[in-house]
Amino acid sequence: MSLLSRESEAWWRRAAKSRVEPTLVHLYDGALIGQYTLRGLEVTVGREATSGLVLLSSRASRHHARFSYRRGAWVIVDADSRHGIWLGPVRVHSVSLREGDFLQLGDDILTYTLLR
Amino acid sequence: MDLFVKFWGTRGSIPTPGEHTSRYGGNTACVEIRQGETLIICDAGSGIRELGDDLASRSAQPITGHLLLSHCHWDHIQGFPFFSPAYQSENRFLIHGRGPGDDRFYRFLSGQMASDYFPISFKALRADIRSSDLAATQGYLGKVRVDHLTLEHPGGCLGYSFRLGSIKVVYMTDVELPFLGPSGCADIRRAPSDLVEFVNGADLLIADGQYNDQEYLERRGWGHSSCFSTVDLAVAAGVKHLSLFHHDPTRSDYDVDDLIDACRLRVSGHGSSLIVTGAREGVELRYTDSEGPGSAVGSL
Repeated sequence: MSLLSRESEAWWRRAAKSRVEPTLVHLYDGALIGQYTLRGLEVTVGREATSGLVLLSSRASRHHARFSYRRGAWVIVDADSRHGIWLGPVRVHSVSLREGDFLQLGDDILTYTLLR
Repeated sequence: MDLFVKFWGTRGSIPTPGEHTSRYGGNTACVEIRQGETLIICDAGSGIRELGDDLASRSAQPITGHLLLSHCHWDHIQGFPFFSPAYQSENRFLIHGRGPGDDRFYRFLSGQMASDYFPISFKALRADIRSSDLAATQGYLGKVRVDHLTLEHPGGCLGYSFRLGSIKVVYMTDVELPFLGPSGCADIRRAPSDLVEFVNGADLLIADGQYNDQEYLERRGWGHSSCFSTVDLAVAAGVKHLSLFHHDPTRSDYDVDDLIDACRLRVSGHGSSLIVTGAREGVELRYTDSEGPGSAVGSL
C-alpha cells in the first residue's frame, strides 16, 4: 500500500522537478567565472556585452551561439561563429544538452549540469 | 554550400529508454542529412518519430524528403508509423529502392502497417509516399551525389555515401566486417578492398561498432562488427572522423565511453589522426564545401 495518495505523489513529483535548474558553469583560463541558470526560451552567448552569457576569450565570436529550449531540452546552436562549438574532439553545429556535457567556445568552457 | 548531418537514433536492435542510455540515446537508427532544401533520411528506426516532430516545428512549408533504408530489419523501420509528417497530405516522401523497379523497401515499410501489426493502415497516411530509386535522378538527390554498396549482413544491407563537392559522408550501419589479421594494436586488420574504396577519404564515417572483439567472436554471423575492425577500416581508408553507431542495447553510456576510449587507444597505436566518437542522439554536424558549388543533376 502506498504511503502517499495519488494526488500527493503527483504534487511531490512536480515539486521535485521544479527544483531542477539547468545550469551552465563558466570556466575561463583555469578559473571559475560563474554559474548561469538557463531560463526562458532562448539565451544568447558571445563576446558582445549584451549577450545573455558573456564569453571572455578573444577566440569567441561576438555572437557565438544561442541556447534554445526545444521540446523539453536545452539545445545549443552555433551562430556562424569563427571557432565554433566543440564537444570533445568534434566541432558540432548544434547539440541537445545532457548533464555533464563539456562545451568549448573559443577558449571559454561551459559545463552543463542540472542543479537540484 | 553546407551539408548537415544530425543523429536522431543511434541504438542497435531495440530501443533502450532509461537514464543509463540518455546521453548516447535509446532510439534506433535514424540519421538526417540535409543540404539546402534537400532532406535525406537514413533509416526509419524509432528516432524518426522525433525527427518528424522536429521537421513539423521548423516551418509551416510542406515537407519533401527522400527515405534511404539500409535494410528492413525491424530496428530500421519500426519508427515509420509514428513519423507524423507522413500523416499530412501536403508532404511528399520518396522511398528509394536499389534500382529501377525495386520497391522492396516500400513494400516492407507499408507491410509493417498491416492490421496484424499496427492499428492504422498505410493507406491512412495522407502524404504522397511513393517508391523510387536513385537511378531516376541519375544518382543525385538535389546537389548531393548518392552511391550505395551492398554490405555483409543477414538478409543484405546497403551502405550509402553522400558527396557534395569535396565533402564525403558515409552511412554504413549493420555490416559484419571479417576478422582478418591481428588483434594487437600495432597492426591494422585487413578489410575488403571494396569497403576501403567505398569509405576512402570520408570526412565522416557512420559505421557499425556494436561489439568488442570478444562479443564478435561469440556472435559471428549476426551481421555486426567489432568496433576495432571498424577502426582499422577507417584508418586504412584515411577517414577523418569515425562515428561508431548501432550501440549494443546492453550498453550504458559509460560502457560506450569505455569502448570509445579503447578505440582511441587503438588509433593511437596505429599512429593515426583518426577521430573516434560514439554517435549520439541530438548531435548535429555541419560540413562546408570548400570547392564551391557542385553540379546539380536531378531533383525531387
